[in-house]
Amino acid sequence: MPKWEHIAGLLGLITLIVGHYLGLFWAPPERMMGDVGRLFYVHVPVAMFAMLVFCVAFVGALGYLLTSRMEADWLNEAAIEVGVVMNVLLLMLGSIWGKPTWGVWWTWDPRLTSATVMLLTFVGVILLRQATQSPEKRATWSAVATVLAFVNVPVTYMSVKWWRSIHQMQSTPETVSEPMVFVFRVNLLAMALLMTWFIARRWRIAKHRAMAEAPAPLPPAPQVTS
Amino acid sequence: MNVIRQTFEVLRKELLVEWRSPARVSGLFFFALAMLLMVAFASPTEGILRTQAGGTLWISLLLASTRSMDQSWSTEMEHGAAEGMLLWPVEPVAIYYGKALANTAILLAVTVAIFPLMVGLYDVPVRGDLSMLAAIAVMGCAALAAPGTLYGLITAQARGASVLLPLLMFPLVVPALLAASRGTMVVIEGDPMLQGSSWLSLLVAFNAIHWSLSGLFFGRVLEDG
Amino acid sequence: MTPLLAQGTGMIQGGWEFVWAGYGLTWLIFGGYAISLIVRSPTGGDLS
Repeated sequence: MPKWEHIAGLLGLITLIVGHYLGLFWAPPERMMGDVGRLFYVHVPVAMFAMLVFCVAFVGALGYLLTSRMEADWLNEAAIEVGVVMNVLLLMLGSIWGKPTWGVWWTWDPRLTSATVMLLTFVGVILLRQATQSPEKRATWSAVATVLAFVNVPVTYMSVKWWRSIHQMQSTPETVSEPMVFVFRVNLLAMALLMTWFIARRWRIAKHRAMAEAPAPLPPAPQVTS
Repeated sequence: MNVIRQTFEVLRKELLVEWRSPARVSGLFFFALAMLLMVAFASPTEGILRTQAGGTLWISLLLASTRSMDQSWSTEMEHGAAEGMLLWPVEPVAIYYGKALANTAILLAVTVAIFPLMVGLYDVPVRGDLSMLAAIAVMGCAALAAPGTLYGLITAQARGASVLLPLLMFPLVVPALLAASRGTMVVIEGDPMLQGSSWLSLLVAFNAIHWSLSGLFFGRVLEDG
Repeated sequence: MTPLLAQGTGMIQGGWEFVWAGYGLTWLIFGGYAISLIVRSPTGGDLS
C-alpha cells in the first residue's frame, strides 16, 4: 500500500510541471525584467520554502528539547538536510538571476550573504550530527545547534544590511500583475507538496536508521506445545 | 549558595588555574601575534594593512579562540567524561557562565596585549574615543566566548573537534565579527558619523541573545554529554 | 558583460538562457535529491 506522502509527492510533481509551464510560456514578461523575470516563479518559492523548511527543523529541535522524543529529532534531521538542498539551489538561482539583472554573478547583498551564512551554519549542524555515535548526544547537540543557527539568521541579515547594502530592483506589489500572482501561487503549492514528500521520505530514512542502530529486541519465547 | 555566587566561584577557580600557569593566555597571545604577522606577509602592500587592521585583529582573535575553547573543557574531562562536572556542588548554569566569563576575560587580556602591537606593526593612527574602543573590545570578546564556550563542550566530546569547532563557530559569529571589525575600524578612524555606537548596539544584542540561549541549553548538553 | 537593463526600453531584453538555466537547475537538483531519497529509502528502490 502506498504511503500518504506519495500522494503529496505525485501531486507536487504534477503541480510543478504545470507551474513551470505557466511560468515559462503563459505568464507575461515582467515589466522591468522582461523574460528574465520568469525566474521569479522558481527563485522566490525556493527562497520562501528554504526558510520554511528550516522553520520545520527548528520546530523539530524545540520538540526534541521539550519532549526528548526521537521522532522530533528525526524531523530535525530530515528538515535540515532538505533545507540545505533548498539553500544550495536558492544560492545558485540567485546567482543565475543576478547575472542578467545586476550584471554580476555575486554581490554582497544582505539577502544573498545571509543565505550563504545560513547554509554554512546548517552544514555545520549536519557535520556535528556525524561526529558522534550516541543517538541522545546527537539529538541534543543537533537541537541546540539548530536553535542557535535559526535565531542567528535575522541577526546576520541585519548586520550584513548595515555592513553593505546595494540598491536592487524588488518586485513591489504594483509591478506584480494578476496572472503573475496566479502562476506564483501554483508554484508555491508545488513547492509545498514536494517539500512534504522530501521531508516525509527523509524522516522515514532517519527512523529506519535509528531502528537499525537500536539493540535488537529479544526473540519471542518459543511456544511450548504439548 | 545562589547561582550568582556559584558563577563567581567557577570564574575564580578558572582564573586561578590560568594565573598559576598562564598557558592558554600566552598560547593565544602568540597565536594572535603570529596571525598578525602572517597577514602582513600575505598582503600585497603595506597600505592595505592599515585599512584592514580592525578586521585582522578580530579574525586573529576568532581563530585563536576556536583553537582554545575546547581546551577550556579538556582539563575537566581528562579523567573521564563530562558527567564528572555533574558532581560539582554547583548548578550547571553556573558552570557555563563561570567558564564563559573566564573565556571572555582571557580573550580580553589577549586583546589588550595584542592591540598596541597591531597599532605599531600596521602603523595605525588611533584617533577615536578609547572608551568606545574598550566597550567594543569587551562586547566583542564576550560575543566570541558565549557560543565558543557552549560549542567547546560539545566538540570536546565529538570526533574531529579541531575542524568542527571553527566550522560551527564561524558562521554563527558572523554578525559579531562584522560589528566588532567595523566598529573597531570606525572608532580608530575617528568616527565623525558616530557609527561606533550602532555597531556596539549590534554587539550588545548579539550578546544578549547568545548569552541567554547558551545558558539555557547548557544544562541539557551537560546532562546528555 | 553589461547589465541587459542598460539596453534600450528599460525592460531587460532576452536573457532566456538564464531562465532555462534556472528552471533546468531546479529540476536537476529536485530530481537528484529525489533519486537519493529513493535509493536510501528503507525498502531500497521500492517506494512503499
